Amino acid sequence: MRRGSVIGPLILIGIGGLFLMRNLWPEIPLVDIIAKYWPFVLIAWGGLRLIEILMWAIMSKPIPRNGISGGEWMLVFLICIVGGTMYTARHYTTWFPAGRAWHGVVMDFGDSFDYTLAPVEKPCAKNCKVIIENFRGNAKITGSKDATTVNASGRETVRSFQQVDADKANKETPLELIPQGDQMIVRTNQDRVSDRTRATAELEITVPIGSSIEGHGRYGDFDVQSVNGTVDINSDNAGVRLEAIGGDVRIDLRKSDIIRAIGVKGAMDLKGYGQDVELQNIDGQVTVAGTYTGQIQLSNLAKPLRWEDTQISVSCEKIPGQIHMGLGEFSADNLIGPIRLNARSRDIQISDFTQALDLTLERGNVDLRPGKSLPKIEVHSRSGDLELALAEGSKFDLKASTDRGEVHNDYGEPLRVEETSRGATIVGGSGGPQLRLETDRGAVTVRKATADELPNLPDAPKPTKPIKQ
Amino acid sequence: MNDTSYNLIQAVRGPIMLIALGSLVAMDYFGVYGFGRTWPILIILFGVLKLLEKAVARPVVQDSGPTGGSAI
Repeated sequence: MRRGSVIGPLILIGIGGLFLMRNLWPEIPLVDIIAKYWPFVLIAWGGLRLIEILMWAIMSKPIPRNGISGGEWMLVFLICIVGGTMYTARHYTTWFPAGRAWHGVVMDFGDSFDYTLAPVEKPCAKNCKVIIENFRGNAKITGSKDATTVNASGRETVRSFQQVDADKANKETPLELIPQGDQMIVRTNQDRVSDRTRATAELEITVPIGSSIEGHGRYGDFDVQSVNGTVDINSDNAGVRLEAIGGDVRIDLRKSDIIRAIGVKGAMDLKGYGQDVELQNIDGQVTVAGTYTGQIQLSNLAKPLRWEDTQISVSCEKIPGQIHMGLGEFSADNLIGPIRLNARSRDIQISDFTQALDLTLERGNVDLRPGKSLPKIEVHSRSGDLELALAEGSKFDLKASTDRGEVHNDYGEPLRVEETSRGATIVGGSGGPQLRLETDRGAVTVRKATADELPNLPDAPKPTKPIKQ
Repeated sequence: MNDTSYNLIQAVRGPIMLIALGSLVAMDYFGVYGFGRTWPILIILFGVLKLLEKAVARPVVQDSGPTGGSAI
């Protein structure tokens, strides 16, 4: 560090502050924060040095030859390598265990002691709100038509080096139900035990069917079934499984292996990071703002979908069919538009869609099979092949071009090919919806759809006579 | 005066490059533009700053004859 500069001391203060934070508030996901926000350290460093140099210049002090010395650039390089590796590991792969899992590895050196939690039961209103506080472990919550009480029971596991410590921890963490107005708080008291022992619980909770559920977890799964109220889950690391939910659902997770919802009457709102997402038979609007890196399966969504990811953003009005997203691929069947799709690097395949499609892609192949009733289509791709299958005899106004690549007109009349310097364009049609496809680099193919690619729409041609042997 | 601005531009080059690097990586992480697309900005910026340095430095060499230049 340069003599007279404040950066060196500030870095020391910052490192000390981070360690202090880790000791005082261990629940703050510090590794996640550093992995995401480290570039701001570079910005702050550069900004402070810039101010320093300007101050020196104003005060006519000698200005150093280089604003950042060679040694400092080495440190910047090191920060970039460490920060970049942390970010990649946290967001795009599954092999790197999360901060809490590291904690788990340390804790696994002890033994695990199992206890049965004394069951608790308290009366509550038919539409009461059940809140599970600061929970570590798995909870199964089931709504029952006949129930007029909240009933909780289960087992507790304490990891500890000694039986005495485990017994003590078990005594300190009784399962409690605390009524507060219209709310019923399920408290496991897991925070009371010291850092050297760790308590987790497997809970079975029965609630009246009209209840709402609010779960705050630190680690573990939530399994909610047959509840007519809203469900609100917030956790550092959880798998969430929902079935037959009557109200709105909000899920906010820092990490998850799976989010599965089957049969939700209200709207769904997903936030955070995770892997697999499976949504089926959702009656309300689905809004997703997060990063999900696993297999994504959406089927039968009755209201609009808004999916905003760092890698892909999708919106459409209704999904009677299904959408599947995996690593580098997006496939969809039977969608009701207008559909907007914006992706960085994906192979896209969409069949049987209506209204309109607006697709912007940086890299990847596109395969479109719109079906019998043609929607308006607009596709822009920077790099990748485009393929469009049109039903024979349909009306359209097509212009499909590539700046650099080949075109294949397998459809025939009324389409024609116009060559340009490095690419070509297929144009033509007989009046109808506008189909505009363009790629900067890649092949463009327009072909006739085969009979099995056409969906069974009411106006689709059907075989007139059954085949007799 | 030219000598001071030359030194100043040379000194601020490092911090400006550092800020630009941090900003591009942050933009990537927050999903604005990927670093894979924006990295050439760093080269352009470096070039612009070098050019600026030269633009400030040249008059010093030219004027060193009859009038100025005593500062060197």
